[in-house]
Amino acid sequence: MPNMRVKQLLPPKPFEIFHMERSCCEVRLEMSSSIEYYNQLMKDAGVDGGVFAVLIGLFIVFCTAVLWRFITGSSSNRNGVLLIGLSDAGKTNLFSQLVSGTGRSTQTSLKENEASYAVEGAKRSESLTLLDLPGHEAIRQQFVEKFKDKARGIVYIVDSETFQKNIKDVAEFLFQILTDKSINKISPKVCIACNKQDKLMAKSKKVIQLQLEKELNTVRKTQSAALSSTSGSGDDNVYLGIKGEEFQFSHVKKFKLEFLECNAKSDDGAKSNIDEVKSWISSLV
Amino acid sequence: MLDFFTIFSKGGLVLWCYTFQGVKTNFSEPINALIKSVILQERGGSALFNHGALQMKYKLDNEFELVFVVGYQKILSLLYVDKFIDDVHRTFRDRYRQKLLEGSLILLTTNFDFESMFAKMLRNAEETKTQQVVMKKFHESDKAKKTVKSLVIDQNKKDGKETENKANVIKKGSPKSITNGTGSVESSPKTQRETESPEIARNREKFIQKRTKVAKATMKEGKKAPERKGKLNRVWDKGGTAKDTKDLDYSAPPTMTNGHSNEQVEKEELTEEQRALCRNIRALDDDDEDEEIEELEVDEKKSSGGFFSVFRGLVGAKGLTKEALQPALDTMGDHLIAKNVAADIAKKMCDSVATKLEGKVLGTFSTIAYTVKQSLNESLVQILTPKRRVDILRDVLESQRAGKPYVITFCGVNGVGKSTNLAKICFWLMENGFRVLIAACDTFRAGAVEQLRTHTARLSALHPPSMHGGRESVHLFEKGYGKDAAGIAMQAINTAREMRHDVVLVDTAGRMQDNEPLMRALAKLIAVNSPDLVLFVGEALVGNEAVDQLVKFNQALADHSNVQNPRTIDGIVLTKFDTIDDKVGAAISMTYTTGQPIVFVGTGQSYPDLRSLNAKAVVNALLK
Ligand SMILES: Nc1nc2c(ncn2[C@@H]2O[C@H](COP(=O)(O)OP(=O)(O)OP(=O)(O)O)[C@@H](O)[C@H]2O)c(=O)[nH]1
Ligand SMILES: Nc1nc2c(ncn2[C@@H]2O[C@H](COP(=O)(O)OP(=O)(O)O)[C@@H](O)[C@H]2O)c(=O)[nH]1
Ligand SMILES: [Mg+2]
Ligand SMILES: [Mg+2]
Repeated sequence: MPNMRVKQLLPPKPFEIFHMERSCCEVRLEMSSSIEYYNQLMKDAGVDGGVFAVLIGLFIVFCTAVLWRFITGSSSNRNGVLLIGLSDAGKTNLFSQLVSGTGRSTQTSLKENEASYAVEGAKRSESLTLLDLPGHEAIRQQFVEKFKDKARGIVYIVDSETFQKNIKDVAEFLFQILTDKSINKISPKVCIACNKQDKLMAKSKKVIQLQLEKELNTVRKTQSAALSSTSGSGDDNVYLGIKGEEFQFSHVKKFKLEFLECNAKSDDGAKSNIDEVKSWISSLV
Repeated sequence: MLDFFTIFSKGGLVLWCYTFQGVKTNFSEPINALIKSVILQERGGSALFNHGALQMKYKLDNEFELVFVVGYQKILSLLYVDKFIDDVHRTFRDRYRQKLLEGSLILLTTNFDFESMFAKMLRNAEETKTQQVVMKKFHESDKAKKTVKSLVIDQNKKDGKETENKANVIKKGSPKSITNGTGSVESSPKTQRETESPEIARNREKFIQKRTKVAKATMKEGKKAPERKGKLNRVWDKGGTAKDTKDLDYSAPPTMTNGHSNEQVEKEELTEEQRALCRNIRALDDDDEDEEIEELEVDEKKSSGGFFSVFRGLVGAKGLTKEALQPALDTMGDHLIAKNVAADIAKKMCDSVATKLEGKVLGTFSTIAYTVKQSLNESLVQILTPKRRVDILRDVLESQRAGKPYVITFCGVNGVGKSTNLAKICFWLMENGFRVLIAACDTFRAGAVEQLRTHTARLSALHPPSMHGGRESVHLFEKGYGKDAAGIAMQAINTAREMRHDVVLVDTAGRMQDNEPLMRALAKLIAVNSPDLVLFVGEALVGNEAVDQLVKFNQALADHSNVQNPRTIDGIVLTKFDTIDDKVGAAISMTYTTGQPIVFVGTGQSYPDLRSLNAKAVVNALLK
């Protein structure tokens, strides 16, 4: 008979834990009421106070853990390095090179790739998480939304060979990232990696920087004239650069922007060269 | 004779790849085409895809996030690939289960040594097509009953969504293959006993038909055959064609009444002796059938009831099955239809979500209904997100620099708001300092030119020349009624080039999609003038009609132009958005059908009532 009673009172527990994550005040309120509840039931069931004390102890430990996370968690759990860029820029190749040091053939990504990345010479606790996000137009926005809060650093990868042809797309996506409100709030370091430098027609990072600057200037104009959207809310994006001046990357104060060159593919005799990316990532810890 | 078979993670890392005789051809381009035009456009329901001379089939593993793609020459139309891909999938998964669970790093460092196993499976599959098949007598195996039974239940539940694989397996009449759920392939060579040649297949059909009440299965087969043909022909063009819709109609699930009547006809054709045989089995079956149906119903109740499904989620760490998903999918499908999504499209979306979720393992606290909703949400946002850059101002600037006008053509059926929204877009362009020429190519409807004249007058009153350095920033180009629209548009564009207008907006007459001569005229107008942007104007009030309109417009544009690469619709203007409350389904129907973005949304009758589409807000309204 007593056993049955105990069973009855078990179910509320998981739900109590659920609430705790919401806020600490709420937890306290609910705890006091649940203490009474338990007390009552314990008496009914004839269970002695020992078990009950242990339960309270557990609650307190849990509370502290939650609080601790609230206080310290905010910056240290942001250890993601996002690889972002248009489709076919070479993100997955770069990811594979960084993680395993080998090349793999790839297909258009449908999902993110995630792996932890140990920076040479850094403490284990400082390990970073590499996130390779898909670049196809139909899904990239959803994935940036999902992972942007984890960004300690963003590697924006550009295909230097097709850059001239795709410049409008490259600039538009970069513009979206640099003006995103919550990315601005956490202001991660950003580097623009000009990939596929092994190719003959690849543009150098100098050229890419200059042309991107010009194109971003135009995009800034057209985007500010764009129609507002159906939801009625005005766009809450951050203004890029300085109002009333031609855009320059040096005007972006929120991010430490850097340009670098790499090539991520290493077959058919070509050797990959991702040293600059590696050392940039090391600078994050 | 497969050209290639490749296995890659959804993240895009190729794990293992087979090419015919080790040829070092690069197949990643057609595979990427498959990913971009089928998987990423939520056309996952049917799984054949043509690319040049290649035909591809794919399968998703949602538990380990893998994709299996097989490719072969289209003319071969191999029948064994359906089952082959399933077998390879199962074998690969079972063999590397441990590895696959461990994440990206392991995927990158593991060498998937799958060659010998694959070669054996392929040999089996290919050899069997030349062997004369000796069938195990169908009624001898008690599994046979099961096969048919499952089919019966499917029909009773009006479940048209069973995979092609399943149907194929059934029609091949290989009783073992279905129950062979987990066994590896080597252990059951019988499953491989399939034939390629159509005569053999036909003979076998007869054979089975005589045997038992598998009549039903063959009926299904008869139904399937035309559908299959349709699928092979299917072109994964952005537009989809009028033919497609017809083909697709075939695939509508057989209704219950239909199924029964057919069954009766078949039954009467059986000989007396066979009938006796049937009766025995049927008697046996009938009870089982009822039982199973009951079971399924209970299942259904459980999974739709929110409270119980919590515990289902807690207990079951098994992958989701189609059956488990079905009730939740049906609910969502009905919900979408209630929100004015075209019925066809709602069904295809649900199929696509099913493909994406089948086999997925639920998280601890998530229910099926929640998972389905979440996944549908993602898919809908994906559909509404433009697949290319839509920045018209940027493109206008570009042509301005090149010294030629940017031409936008508006088309659509009657009274949807072409002229009104053309005027609104004109206003927006003028606000941004561009000079616009309106070409009145609606030479058909009385008053159309006067309507545009009024708009022009009002717009230039809003933007007097004094605001633009003494130059009128909007002009009307008109040539009265009854003339050839294509010619007028041509003259307008030439005028614009001379007068240095930045943009030409071409208004065309409204036309019904079935009006052949008018559609031909529109195709001509577009072919002759090759505008930079062809916008289809459609009202948000439209329901199932939306699909028909768009498909036919696209088809007409493709058919009636003699150019190599015909121009089709580039974008959509969704009008009267203010009149529909939260029944925003037309947005989905239109983008799904064309694969093109909604560029403008008309939200009222005055000039500033023009918006861009907010995909997330629309999807929220849709799933509310
Ligand atoms: N020559 C050369 N080719 C490269 C380089 N990096 C990537 N590629 C090629 O570019 C193509 C695309 O590479 P992925 O890494 O799959 O591209 P992605 O950015 O992940 O593309 P999505 O997954 O579609 O977003 C592949 O065919 C690579 O072989 C490079 O440094 N040099
Ligand atoms: N409420 C609302 N009405 C619209 C909208 N766009 C057009 N209309 C109305 O739809 C009717 C037909 O418009 P019209 O431009 O003549 O259609 P056309 O025949 O396609 O050129 C007119 O009465 C317009 O006022 C819109 O966005 N919202
Ligand atoms: Mg990728
Ligand atoms: Mg009109």
